[in-house]
Amino acid sequence: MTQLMRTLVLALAISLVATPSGAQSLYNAAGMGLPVEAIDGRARALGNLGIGLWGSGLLPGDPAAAGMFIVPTAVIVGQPSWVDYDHESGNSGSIQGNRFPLMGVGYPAFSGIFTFSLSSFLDQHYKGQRSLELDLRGEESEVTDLFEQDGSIGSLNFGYSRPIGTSAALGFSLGRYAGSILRRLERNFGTVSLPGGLESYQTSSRWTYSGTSLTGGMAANLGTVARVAASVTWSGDLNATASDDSRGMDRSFSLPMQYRLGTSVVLAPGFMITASAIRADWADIERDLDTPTTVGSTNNIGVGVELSRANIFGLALPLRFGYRTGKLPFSLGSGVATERIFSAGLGLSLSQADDIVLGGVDAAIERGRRSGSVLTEAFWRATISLRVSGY
Amino acid sequence: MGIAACQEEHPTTLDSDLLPKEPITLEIELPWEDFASDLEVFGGYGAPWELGTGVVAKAFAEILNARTLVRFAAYPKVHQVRDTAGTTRADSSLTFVGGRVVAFFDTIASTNNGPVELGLGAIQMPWDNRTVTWVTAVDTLNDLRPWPQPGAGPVISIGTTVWDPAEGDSAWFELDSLQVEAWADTADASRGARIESLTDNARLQVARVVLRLDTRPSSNPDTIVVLSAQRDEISFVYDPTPEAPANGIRIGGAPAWRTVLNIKIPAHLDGPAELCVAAGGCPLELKPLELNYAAITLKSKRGEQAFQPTDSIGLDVRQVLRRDALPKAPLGESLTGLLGQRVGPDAFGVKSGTDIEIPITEFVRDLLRSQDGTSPTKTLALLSVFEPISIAYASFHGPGDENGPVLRLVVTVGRAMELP
Repeated sequence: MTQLMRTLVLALAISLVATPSGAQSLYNAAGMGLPVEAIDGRARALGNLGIGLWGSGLLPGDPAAAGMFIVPTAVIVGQPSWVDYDHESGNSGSIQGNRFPLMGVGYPAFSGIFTFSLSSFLDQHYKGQRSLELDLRGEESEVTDLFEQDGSIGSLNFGYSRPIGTSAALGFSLGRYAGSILRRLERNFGTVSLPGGLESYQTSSRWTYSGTSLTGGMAANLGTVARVAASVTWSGDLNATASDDSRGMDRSFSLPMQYRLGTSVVLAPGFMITASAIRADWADIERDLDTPTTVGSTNNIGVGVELSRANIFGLALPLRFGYRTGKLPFSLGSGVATERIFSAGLGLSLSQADDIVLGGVDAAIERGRRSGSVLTEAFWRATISLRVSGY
Repeated sequence: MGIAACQEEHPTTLDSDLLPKEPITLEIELPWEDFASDLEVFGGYGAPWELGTGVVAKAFAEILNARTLVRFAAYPKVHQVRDTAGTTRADSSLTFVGGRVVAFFDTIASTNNGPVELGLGAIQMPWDNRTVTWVTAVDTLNDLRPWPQPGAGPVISIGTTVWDPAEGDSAWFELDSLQVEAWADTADASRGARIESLTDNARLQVARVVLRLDTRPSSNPDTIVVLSAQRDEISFVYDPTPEAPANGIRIGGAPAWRTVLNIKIPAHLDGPAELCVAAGGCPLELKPLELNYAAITLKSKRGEQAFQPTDSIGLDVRQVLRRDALPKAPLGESLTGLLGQRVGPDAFGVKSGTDIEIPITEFVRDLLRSQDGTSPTKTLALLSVFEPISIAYASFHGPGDENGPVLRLVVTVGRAMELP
């Protein structure tokens, strides 16, 4: 009971910390936004897509992994990023944002482990501005339209995993998409001259998102040298329900099946390589979008290497390097945008009992580039995750 | 299309297709009958003495006569004087051997361009500064005393002088020691000076009146020192008192005029056509945040020549909180701010017919918020920012013809905001 209380308290603490979600890309403005992977600092550093890693137990895309590690576990992930963009119009600049893409807890019960996680799914935050000429009483004046879309979609996942024999596990999680979006347009009449001035025009609509997903997966260890894992996520329609005071209509969007496959191979003591892939065909959502948008399939792959013999003051300090590439589901302009990322990172074991890390920090730094027909972004992204086990 | 900006956590899109379709902004003019009703003009707010200035006129615009009444404060009792030995000390034994009343005029607010002859007289009966009028010297509770002669008379003439605006902004009347002594008794309610114009067709605004006292100090009797006694009270009386307009709008004057009207904003708009197209159909329910501007627009006109403004007037609008309590109904806060909507005097003269807009945007927005599909009626009062502000008042066309008041609205409407 004491352990259960600790778990609940920790989950509450995590939820309080993980509230802010900033935007990190101009591709947020395309279609339904930019996907945000719910993976931790270790997977980021390894270029991994969140499946098939030794030791990582709480990744929503790899539900079976938790069944391979029956220990109470919690993880929280923070992720700042710095983006320089360059638009074909000649405009360029930089943006910065922070987000918390994942927090999760796992608690053993019934010969397996129950997991609960909150994870990011799509980031939709962006602003826009345009200037117009207004003819009022025969005089031309400049007015400015300011548009802001503030929204994101996350997922609440509740799952169960259990080992099958001594070297395999099965897992599933039931997910509930949640989030909201506010679209707000303001017209500013700064230069229009009338007695007392003009008040700005404002209109907005708000929607709340809902939907269901189900993820199932399996993982297997091939002796002590390799792990393979696969998972598939089915999603029902993502429903956007307009609030009562909004003039906007309720909408529904088709979400794709997502297929993931990953493996880790220990080539030598302290030397592991990993590879993973994810595929999702977003084509069906195109007919649900009113705004013409370039929609494509996401075929992402990632590879990485981990050198785990390094240590500092007797604590393990694994070094990691990775590379990943893929396509974005929604793009600005006519062509499909792509993303390439080089990554590096390290882990720091704060507390360890035998081979079990009781408390550790995983950090990753990524240098990436998103390229589309009209917009190119180069970014630095840091990911820091805190993991505790056996509490 | 806007330029991208560096903002933390707020990417700025560069693609114009990603912004909602442009809403349209247009101006709508509602005629009187569509937004207002029950216009009434009330007078009698404040009194001339509150202005702290005076007016003199004789047959101005053939009808207006006005006289300024002033009462001076107590004379100085002590003064620092250098005696015959060269030592400066307080002298409390002062002898007033003469003096002069100096009147300063507001050259802008006065109508004359040439010299005007003025007369000064000593008032002979008690008068009450707050209630004095052309015909009554005192009009307080259970005490009504008319002037023996309308126009604050009779007076004992003290003298005349000429004020020529080309030579300065003041004129003075010489006093002998007897008159100075007569005004020294502050307990005498009949003391006071009356300034009048002896020249026809001029209306002068008296900005200030001072009594200069020629004083002989006991410590240095060979020297004349000029001391000042400030005015204690000042007011003016005039004739005729203007009648309320039969069908018009009047604001200002002393006592002040207010114009009251009921406002009712239509809950739905049925045009113009471009508005309906932009909104996706009519009738359109007007929402507060879609209203960018609302102004009562009045068309100025020439009022009675005798009361034509000679300076700017600040127009104010306030909500009447209880119409049934008029003319003493409490008013709400100003809707136009501290200075109000300033209107130059030409709008009531050579530029009569000018549209004067009094913005009431926030008031109308609040009205739209509160009406919730219905159309509640609110009452507004049009008045001058300060009451009274001058003897002159502003005149505007009333409802009933093409010059009547209108409500100008600037609205912005667009289609409903939808997801991509």
